[in-house]
Amino acid sequence: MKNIDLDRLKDLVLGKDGAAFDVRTGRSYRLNPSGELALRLLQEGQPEEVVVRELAGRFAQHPAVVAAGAEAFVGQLRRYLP
Amino acid sequence: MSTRTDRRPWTQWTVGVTGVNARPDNPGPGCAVARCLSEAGGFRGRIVGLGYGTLDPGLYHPDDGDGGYLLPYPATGADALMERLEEILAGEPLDAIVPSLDSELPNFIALQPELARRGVRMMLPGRAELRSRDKDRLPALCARAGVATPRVRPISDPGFFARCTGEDEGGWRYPLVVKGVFYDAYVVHDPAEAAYRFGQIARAWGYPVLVQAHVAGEEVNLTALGDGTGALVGPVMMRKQALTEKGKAWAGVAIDDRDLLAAGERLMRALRWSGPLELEMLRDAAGTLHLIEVNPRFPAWVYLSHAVGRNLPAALLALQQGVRPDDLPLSPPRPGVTFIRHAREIIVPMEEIVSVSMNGSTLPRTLPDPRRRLTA
Repeated sequence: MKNIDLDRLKDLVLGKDGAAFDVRTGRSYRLNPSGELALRLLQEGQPEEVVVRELAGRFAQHPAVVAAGAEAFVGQLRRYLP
Repeated sequence: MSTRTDRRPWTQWTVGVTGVNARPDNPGPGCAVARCLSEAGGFRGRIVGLGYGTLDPGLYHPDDGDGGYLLPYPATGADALMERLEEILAGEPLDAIVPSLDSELPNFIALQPELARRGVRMMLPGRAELRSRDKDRLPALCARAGVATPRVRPISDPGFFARCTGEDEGGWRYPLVVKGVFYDAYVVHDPAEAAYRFGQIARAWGYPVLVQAHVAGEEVNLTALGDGTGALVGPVMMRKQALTEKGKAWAGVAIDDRDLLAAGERLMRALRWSGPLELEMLRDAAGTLHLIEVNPRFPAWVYLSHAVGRNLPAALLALQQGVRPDDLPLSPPRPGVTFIRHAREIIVPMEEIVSVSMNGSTLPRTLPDPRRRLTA
């Protein structure tokens, strides 16, 4: 979860049903429930272990599985939020 | 500035708006400016279209205008324009004019003192400020403002395009952008295509033709007002989502881009601009913003400013009446608000067309009709 600027993350405004709008680029995205929760936690500035723990608890997944998924999600954010 | 003692509020002014042509592939801004004023809260004045062609729709618009007049083409000069404006003012005292085309700015700047004496307000940059945002001077402006811009060069010999990749000519690399001084820009990929576009632009707009390094990226635009102090007043930012063949916005979304805003503030400080302007910028893959053009007027998409609570044409009139920038009723940015342009026919009675063709003006209208819409 390194190398993502917190201010840039906050450019993504979450709406209803996982809708996310990037106020800087005008692009819209749709997040699934786990992505929505992960983004909210990241926007709060939570560290990686907290994000993984919260996701694992909420979605009843093994932390190792969640960690891999979270890493992939962050990779997507880096690509979409240059 | 004005000798008129009339203290009517700007919402009761008669306002002339130019640039009321509206070809769908490349509309002038005038109809959008008129629509902004027509829908501005409390506006009960008159909006008069000032056009250059019998088929300019802003002369006849039933919802956003109260008739109009033909003007001589800008190339005929300031004296011809003043002569025509005197004829118009004799029958229709204008409280303000909002020039909305690049090519007419030099004439209106020249006439500003005389028109001010006759009570016609305009908020325009000075000649030097106008010149400093010419396309061939953007590198100097951007150096002062700390903003990136592609290198540009005026040329008058199409043979340049065959030589330009050589070190002696500066080692340019295709694709390039070939541009007119006022209008039109084409991305070209080889010397033959470049020479063809060069000839096309030279025939339409004269010399010099400009060549600019091509920047691949996403276009973002900002429109705002300058009050002459260097402040950026009421910025509205937009990303184009759909383009016409001429690269004009057919749809766009309001954004809130702090880098674009910061660049706009630096450019405005460097320009100390007075009046409306539009910044066209490209963001490259690395995220760097490059200034492509500074347009000395509202853009054709300025109606979006009304939609996001920052009606810039209305704010312009308020500034002209002496309202301080801090007191303008400007909402916070509303990113996500989208516009989608569409073409629509307006029906014009034959008598109106005949009147414009024969007399250079629409038929007289008596009182403002009660057509003003509710405000957004």
